[in-house]
Amino acid sequence: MRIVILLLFCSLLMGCSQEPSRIQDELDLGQYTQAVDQSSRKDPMHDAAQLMVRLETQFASYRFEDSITTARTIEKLPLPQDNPIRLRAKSIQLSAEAMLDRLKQAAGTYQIERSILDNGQEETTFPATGQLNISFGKPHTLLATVQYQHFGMPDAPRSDTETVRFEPDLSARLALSEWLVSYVFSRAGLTLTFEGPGGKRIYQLKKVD
Amino acid sequence: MERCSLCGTPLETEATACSYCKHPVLKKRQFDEESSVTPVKSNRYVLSFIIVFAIAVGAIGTWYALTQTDSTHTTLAAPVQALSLSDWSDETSAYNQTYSSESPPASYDILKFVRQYTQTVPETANYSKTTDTLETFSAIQFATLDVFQSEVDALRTIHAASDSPVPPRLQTVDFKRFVSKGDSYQVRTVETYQLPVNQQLVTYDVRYNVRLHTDHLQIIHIVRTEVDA
Repeated sequence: MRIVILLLFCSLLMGCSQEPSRIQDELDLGQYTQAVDQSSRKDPMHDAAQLMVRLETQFASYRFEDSITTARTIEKLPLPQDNPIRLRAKSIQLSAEAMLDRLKQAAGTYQIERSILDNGQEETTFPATGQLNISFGKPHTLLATVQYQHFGMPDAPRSDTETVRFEPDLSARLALSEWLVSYVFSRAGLTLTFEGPGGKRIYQLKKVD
Repeated sequence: MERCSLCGTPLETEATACSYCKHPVLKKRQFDEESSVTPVKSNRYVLSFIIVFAIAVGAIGTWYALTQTDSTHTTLAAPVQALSLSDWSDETSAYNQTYSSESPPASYDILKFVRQYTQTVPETANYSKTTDTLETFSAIQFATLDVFQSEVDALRTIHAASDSPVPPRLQTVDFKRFVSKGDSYQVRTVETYQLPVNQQLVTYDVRYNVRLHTDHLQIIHIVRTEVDA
């Protein structure tokens, strides 16, 4: 009688123990969609893999605030400290937070500090005045609104607004008629280059607020 | 020796009644039998209950200890660093990336591949059957010939604006759905392109089918539908 009861409870305990995940290889290789495809909802890592797919699609869309929210949800899952999903989600969260910090620093009003004409043979300065204001949007945080305020040479100032898609290195290159316009943020400020048939017009701008 | 409970006459061992007063002794016997059996049974029940209780408490304790260990792990700070910019941006070309069964593409590699393809879309819209050769178009490197031709047909709105001195350009790519179906990947995006006239926008709902072709990724099917923004 006692042996029967003992065996019964041992089998019950075996049933209660957590089933190991069958998709560990896919998770280790970062193949989260395949992990979702190859697992059932009962798999202990199914939901974590699904959340990673959501996190990566948000991050690839450059929706950094949404990425941070999803990464925090993953952080709350009962996963071991060294679990690859936990580490990957944390890395993405840190990247998104760093990017938002850089965008916060980059946004603002810039004033022309120096304007240079490079005709391929020599560099000369030329008179230029004006400001431009840059603000980054939501939820697509790398999409900027650039507002020109009496910007450029005094005889032909530019006052309009343009939407510019920046890359994560905070640079943008746009074709504009015969010109190629590039924006590059650096620690010193912003460099705006108009490259065309007559050479390069380089504006070095400094943040004023 | 047992005696009659009524008159005290000594009873024989197997007697069912007192030999003197005929008082029955059956009741006493029955009581004796019951009293000799019941304690054994109740002892068994108590013992079984103790074993069951001990096992149940042990199981709950073990489970609690295990969950406590996991939560302790989660509260410890992990030495994790942010990804390098080239890992997640489009600094490196996704087309040149090769894969094998030992190093298959990660899910983010597929997203990067599709995102880089979207940058070739304004150029694809510019294709003219009469004047251009297919090989010069970078989208050809990402997709099959059928996909390229279906894209040329689907991008009429951008094509109409391609003659402008300011070319159309990509504005946003939103990844909406991303799943694996066996060996292929299905990606749904909402893409917005900026047209040169008054910064007008055109938005597409796009469904991609991507697979690993020998050692590199290839788009094998695209359904592109123009939608309201």
